[in-house]
Amino acid sequence: MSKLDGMIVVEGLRAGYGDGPDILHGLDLRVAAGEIVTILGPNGCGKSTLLKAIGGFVPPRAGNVYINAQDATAVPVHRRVRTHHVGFVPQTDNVFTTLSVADNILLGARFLVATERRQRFAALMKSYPSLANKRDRRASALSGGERQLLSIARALIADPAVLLLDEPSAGLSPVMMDEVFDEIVRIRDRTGMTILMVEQNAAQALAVSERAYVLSLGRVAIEQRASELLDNPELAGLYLGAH
Amino acid sequence: MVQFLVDLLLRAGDIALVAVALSAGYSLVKFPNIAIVQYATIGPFLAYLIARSGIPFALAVAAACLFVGVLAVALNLLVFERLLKSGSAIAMIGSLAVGMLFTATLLVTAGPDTRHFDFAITALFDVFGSNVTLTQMISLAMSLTAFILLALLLFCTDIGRCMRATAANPNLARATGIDARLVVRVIIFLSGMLAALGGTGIAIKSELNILLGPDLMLPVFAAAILGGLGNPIGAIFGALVISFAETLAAAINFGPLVGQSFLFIPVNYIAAASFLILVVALLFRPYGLFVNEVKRV
Amino acid sequence: MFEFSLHVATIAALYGLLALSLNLQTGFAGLVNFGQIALFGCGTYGAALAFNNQFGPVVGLLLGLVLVSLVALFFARLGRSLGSDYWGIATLAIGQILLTIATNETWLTGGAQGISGLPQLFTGSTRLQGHLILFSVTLALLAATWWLFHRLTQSKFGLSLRLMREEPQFAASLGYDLDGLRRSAMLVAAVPAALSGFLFAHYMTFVGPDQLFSTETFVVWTMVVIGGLGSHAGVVVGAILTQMLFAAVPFAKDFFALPSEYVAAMRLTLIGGGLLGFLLLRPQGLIPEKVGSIRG
Repeated sequence: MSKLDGMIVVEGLRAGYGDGPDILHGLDLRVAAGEIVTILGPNGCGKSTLLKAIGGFVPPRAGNVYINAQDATAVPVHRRVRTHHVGFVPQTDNVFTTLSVADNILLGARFLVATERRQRFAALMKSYPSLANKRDRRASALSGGERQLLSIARALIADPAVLLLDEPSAGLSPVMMDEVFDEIVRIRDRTGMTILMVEQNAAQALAVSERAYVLSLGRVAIEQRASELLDNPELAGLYLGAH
Repeated sequence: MVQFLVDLLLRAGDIALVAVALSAGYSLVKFPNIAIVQYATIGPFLAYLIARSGIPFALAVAAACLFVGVLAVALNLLVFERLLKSGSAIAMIGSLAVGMLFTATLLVTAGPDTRHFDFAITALFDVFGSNVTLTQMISLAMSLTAFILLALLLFCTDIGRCMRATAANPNLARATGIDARLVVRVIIFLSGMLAALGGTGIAIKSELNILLGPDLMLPVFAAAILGGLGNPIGAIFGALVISFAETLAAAINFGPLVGQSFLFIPVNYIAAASFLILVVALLFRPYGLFVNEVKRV
Repeated sequence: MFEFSLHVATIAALYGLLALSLNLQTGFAGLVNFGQIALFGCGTYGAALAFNNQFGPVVGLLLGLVLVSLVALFFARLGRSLGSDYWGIATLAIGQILLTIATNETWLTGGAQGISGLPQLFTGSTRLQGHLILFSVTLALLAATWWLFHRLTQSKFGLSLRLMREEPQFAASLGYDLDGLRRSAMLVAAVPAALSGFLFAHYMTFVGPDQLFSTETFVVWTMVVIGGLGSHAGVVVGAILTQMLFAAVPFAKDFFALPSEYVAAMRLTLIGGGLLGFLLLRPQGLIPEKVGSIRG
């Protein structure tokens, strides 16, 4: 397989924080165009670090990250929106609380000419009426679910080819959780976007995903079709700490 | 009454620019930078030096502000960002050390003498019955212009939106495509410029010596903390509150309260009013008048 | 020359007490005190006020200790709701307020002129002998404080202070009383600072507000940072080194025939440069804190 075969390609990735030990020990991962893939694993397995490394927040100590058919390994985070067409939705602190809802979204498309930015903004307002109703309110006034949608809308206005989501259902009510997962599928079906997410909520995430990776101690322990994974006897063992 | 308002505004103008500079810097580089009051001292000294060589006053001030802005960025890069890795208290001590080195440099180069900016006309204006000097008017106009420009920049431009976004959430700003490091540099540059301009405003209407910065320190910190450190617009309100308290303390006759015809608070204690407000504010509203949430433990 | 060396050594030992005090607050409890000189000032003005009202040194000592306890408790109270940098600014402001009071309440403190004529505590057969005794007493006090603080920081109390410094939330969740710890740390640290002020007042025979400028706090800070935050031996070495450098400044001025403002500038450069240089290049100081050396 060529390096360019897949929207997200991770090869031999080693990474960790500061002077600390490696958290990811030479990890490989591949996501095809238009796929929804979930990364699972017990706490401390490195799944969040992996997503941050793909997003560029944690610099790799070894290995490479390719996004949208281009090497992204050494590209600063703030350039990737434009050069690699990647959108990132963090788990916590996912909105600019002191800015209005509209400003939050518009910031995502600063590089576009004004007319195009306005068009996309109008389209997003139509897709997310709950945000449209509060467009001039401060983002700090939004509920957790609305913040999650706002963060997704902020990423979408740049029209990314790849969307990275860090635990999109964390802290949401069951109703909001369903809505966010449904929205993820809708986005993919509408745009053909490639979506990679980290989730704790295995069953629901797998229900909307094609494939999944299960990490354990910084390595890929299982890579399987989402529909088959829940029946894999190894899965529970990994979460219970049997390697 | 008019005199009271005039005094209040003039005093607020003294503190506000430097307090805004402190707060703006804090919004992105999270430590209270004590060296900011030294930026406010170096600014007017440079402007004085440049103006002496025959360059028009406005140009001299602009050049001095630019220089101090660049100096602030360089110091932030070389000193404060490195120290900040060991914690905000360490960075604050470092900024204090930088301030002492500035004072030492000024002592050796400019000396301890007091200087005055020469203005051809020192006319008095009558504003609703209270006397205002030309330099006081210029100083106030400089502050007001700077605030309006700053507010326009922060709330009406793309770079301002980026600044507010980066201050609110630096990591998300990067993910959104904002070059957070560049934004930090711009803010630090602006804060250096504002401090230098603030110091110049004080120096032109009174006098210029190396004590300008140290004397500003506590009133400026009091104003910035009252407004909520990191909130530049809040710092303006903080400065108004501090000036109000100071002006009131100076103007009220406490005589009748104690059965005498005249009793004013001694001038020396009026300076301490802002320290007292600072301590009281820290006791009861440690994160500013406008913040209810407690951000740290 | 001997007399001058004795003077430098005495001042160094008095600063050593201040450095040990600041180190216990900042190096162990994480309390960034920018008003350290106010604690010292409680000692000097305790001695001066007692003298001015015809009381003996014993009353002066007691008055100093009462004053310093009040200030220390107020500092500790402020620390309850503030992060370390905010607290630093608050302590600086309190130091400035106390300085303003000392400068302006002339009826009480002698104002800017201060109070002079305090008696020497020890009168030997000569003045020099008296000074020698005072130096020995100061040295003994320094050694005792060092030993006490060493024992204290090796104890469970020291462990809880460090835990409060590093992980306040964790410490609170384990049931440590942070307010109480802060109070105890401030009180224990305040005593040697006030004693230093008391001895200084009687040694110099003069007490005035210009001894309490905030720059004096930063001199102590430089000593602590140069020596090594959290290291008792380090901060005493830092105090001695800094005092020796300061003592050399007037000689350098005479040698190079510099104008007098250069003396002030050189002192500032030594303090500022020493602080900054060590923070940037050797943040652990000359004698680093020993990690994990607590016996508990």
